[in-house]
Amino acid sequence: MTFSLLPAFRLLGILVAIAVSIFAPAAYAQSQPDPLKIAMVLWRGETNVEQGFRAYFDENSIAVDLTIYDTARDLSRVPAIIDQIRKDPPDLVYTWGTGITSAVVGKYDAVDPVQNITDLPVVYVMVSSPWKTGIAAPAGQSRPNVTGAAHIAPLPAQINAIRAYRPMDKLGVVYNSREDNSVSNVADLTELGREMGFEVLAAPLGSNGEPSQDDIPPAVAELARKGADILYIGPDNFIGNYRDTLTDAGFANGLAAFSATELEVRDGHAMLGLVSRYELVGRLAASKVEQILIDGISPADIPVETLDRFSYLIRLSSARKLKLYPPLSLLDYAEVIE
Amino acid sequence: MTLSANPDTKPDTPTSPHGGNIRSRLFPKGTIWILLLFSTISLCIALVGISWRAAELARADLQTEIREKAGIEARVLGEKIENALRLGIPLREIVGFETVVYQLRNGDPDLVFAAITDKAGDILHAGGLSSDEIATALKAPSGNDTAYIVTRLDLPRAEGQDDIEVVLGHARAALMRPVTDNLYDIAIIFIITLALSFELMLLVLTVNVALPVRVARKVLDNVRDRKFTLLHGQSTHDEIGQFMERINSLINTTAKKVGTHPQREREVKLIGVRMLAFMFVLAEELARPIMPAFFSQVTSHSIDGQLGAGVVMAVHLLMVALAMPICSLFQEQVGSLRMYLCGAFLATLGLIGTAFAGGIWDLVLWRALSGIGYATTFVACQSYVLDATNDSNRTQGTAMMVSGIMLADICGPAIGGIVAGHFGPDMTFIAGATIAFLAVLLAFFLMDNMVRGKTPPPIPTRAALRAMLGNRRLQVLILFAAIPAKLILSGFLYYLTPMILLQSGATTAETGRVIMLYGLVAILTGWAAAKWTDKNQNETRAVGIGGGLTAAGLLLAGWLPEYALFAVAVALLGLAQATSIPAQLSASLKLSKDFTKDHGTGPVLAVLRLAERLGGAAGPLLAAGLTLLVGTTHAVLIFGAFAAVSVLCFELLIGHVPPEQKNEGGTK
Repeated sequence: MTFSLLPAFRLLGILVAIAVSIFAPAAYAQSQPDPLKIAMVLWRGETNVEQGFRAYFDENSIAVDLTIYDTARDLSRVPAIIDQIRKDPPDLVYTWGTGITSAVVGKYDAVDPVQNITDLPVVYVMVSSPWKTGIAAPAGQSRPNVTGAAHIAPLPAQINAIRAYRPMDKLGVVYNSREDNSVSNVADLTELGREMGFEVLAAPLGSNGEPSQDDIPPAVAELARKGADILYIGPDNFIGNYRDTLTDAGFANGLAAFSATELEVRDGHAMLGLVSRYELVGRLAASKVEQILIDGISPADIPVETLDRFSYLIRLSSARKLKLYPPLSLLDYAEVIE
Repeated sequence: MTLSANPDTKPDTPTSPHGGNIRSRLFPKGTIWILLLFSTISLCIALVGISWRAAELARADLQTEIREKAGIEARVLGEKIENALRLGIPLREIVGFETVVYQLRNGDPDLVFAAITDKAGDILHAGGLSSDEIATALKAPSGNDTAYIVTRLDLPRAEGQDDIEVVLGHARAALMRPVTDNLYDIAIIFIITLALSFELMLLVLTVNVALPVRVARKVLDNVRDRKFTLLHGQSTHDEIGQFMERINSLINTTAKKVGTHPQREREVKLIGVRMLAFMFVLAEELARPIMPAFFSQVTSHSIDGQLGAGVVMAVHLLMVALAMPICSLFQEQVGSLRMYLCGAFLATLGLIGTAFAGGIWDLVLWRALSGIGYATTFVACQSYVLDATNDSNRTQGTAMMVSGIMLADICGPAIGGIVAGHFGPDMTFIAGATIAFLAVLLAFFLMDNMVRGKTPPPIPTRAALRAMLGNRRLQVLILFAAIPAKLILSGFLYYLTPMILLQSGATTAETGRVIMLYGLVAILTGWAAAKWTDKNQNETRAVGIGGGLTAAGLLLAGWLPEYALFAVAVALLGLAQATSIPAQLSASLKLSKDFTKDHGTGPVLAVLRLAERLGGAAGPLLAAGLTLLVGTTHAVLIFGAFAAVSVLCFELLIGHVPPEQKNEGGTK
């Protein structure tokens, strides 16, 4: 039996050798894959998040072809951008912030295949409350094409960070009542206040149409009059746009500002913040892109995550203006910005 | 110690239940008191002197250590201040200095205050104490008699700015802390040294002086009466022995002339049993404070460690309970010496095996062996005392053995705690085994193989036994007093107390001290409690009071489980047991007087002992089960509630002892 099979094996060997000689160049070509084609829909151009995103691919020698779509803080541009994306479909869509992400992927239970992207994987960043805003599906469910990286520290940790700097019983919040994530954040803070023993003094803007920059100073003055100990800047695009107006109003009224996001301290004048470093958020998002496009894992199987370490930022120039210097013990671990 | 009676030295002294001659029986007369006082004071002076010298020698080293520590702390504070200044925070605007000092004090309890001062000495920032208090402390003249050790660190600043100083104050009392920490150990070693010295002196003086002299007196009285029938048989090789050898030869010569045949007269060395009882209990008690934790650790591979420890301790006590009556049956045939040798040998094996046990099964085996050894040596000592004494000195003989046991109860856990702290649990068991082995060797010298015979106890009929067991009041005594007392003793004192104290961070030495309190209080209050009981002739009342005290202590410890309150609870338990246990014995005999007048006290005592031992075996099991279910603290509370319910049932069901029983009991 062995004897009779020998010619058959020999024939098989010859065939394999021929196949290898024919297909080897093609296989070699495939080991140098095309760059990952990623469409990035951004709120206000590139930030440190995108720098971290790019750095991750560079360091891991993953070629990427990034197409930037900047909305320039205008959500009405999103439908047109989606149309453009559909004309030249990328491998994955990257979205920045709650507003853009919500417009691109819709709410988990109200997806419109015409208006929202459903056939491409989407990775979002800088969405402060993905579950509250319906961008992420509730626990136990998942979205087939959407995952992302959140960036906000848990609210109790934020309150403890404020209290590590100075005592706080009344937290003043100026926010845009037309932004879902701001409204839900203020509701969460109010509930937390009952547990942790502080009162939220809320100053909603935009209850009579779109809010304007001029609404901010009187709102801050009113909070100061009510006895607010500190101003809270949450994940609010409107306040983010006019952060300096808010902090200047704070200085005028002797109120410091705490921020849950990095830029308000690093680029603005908020006195302190407990934040996720934007660059690290970008890297976290990039690792999710790698899992989807290289490892072939479905977005539905990749959890929405936040970083587990946060940076305590102190802007000393603001502290000096208010004569509210940081306690000695904070200087051991805070990042002090002049 | 002073409660120990010595029948060897005063066999004929009349006894009185009301304490008439008790003082002369219990306390030695004459110059021995002066000697005792002199040796005690000498020992005290020596120990105090050594402690003081050790403290003085340690002081210099400790001062250096504190200065180094203070230097590090000052640099830490200085770096924080410099960092703040570098960031541009104005010196006087620095915030949170107090918090940083508070954090430093958490890591160094000796640090009392810290401050930042300018060159003029003005305090800019203060922590630990107020600025005024620190200023007062800093103004005090330096020297070794100030309350604080002050450390200063200069912080030079940029030109045009005044230099500042970090000032730290450490409590000078910290220099004595290691000594004060060890003071308890020194005190315990002092007590134990006194106790052991007393034991050794008692043994040596009795064997070498008291017994030979007493026999010599008998022989010389015999000669004075011109009988020439006795020779001195108490062999010693000292002056007394040599003198009596000459007397013996004179008696022999004279006896030949008068035609008599003199016999050698000697007395049993009953005192030896005290040392032997002391040793076999000490061997077992050494490891008492570490037993639950050690057993938990060894058994944790097989079952839940806490349950494992409970099972192992229960098996040990169960084996003691079972072995005691069985040994009693064979005691007549085997003899006390051989029985003691077997028991001590088994205990040695058991303790060595325990030290090297690797799992639950071999540990159970070794502890069972230890239990059999303990029971065997106990029965051997007890029967030796009963055989070597007569009606006139039996109580004293038993008291002597019991005092040896109590002394070991006191010394064992305390010494064991210190040994375990320094050398580990396995070495503690090996130390126990070494003592048990020494007991084997000593038994040859301390236990006479031949003791006087005694009348066999009357054999009870089956009907009489049934009647005794059917005695309702005896049942109440056993169910609601005897069993709960031992159950609580083993479950609370031997299981829960070490477990909780060690878990709450107490050292093994501290745990040993608390357990030692039980024996100490029991031995110090036992005599007064017994005297009170005898005087009032109301044993059941004493049993009730003991139960009440136990319940109060346990409920207190369960309610507020702190070290000091545990010590109070253990002390209360000692008082309770000292009040209750002897009273239980007397009460059981009184309640069974119909039986005992015909058949002796043996069966009643056997039933009582068996019930007690079974209670003792159930204690650790119950404690381990409760610990698993509700945790250690709640387990103590439940034990307290159990004690309270037991004493309530006892008081409700026992009834009052009729006056005629009181009277009979009073004359017993």
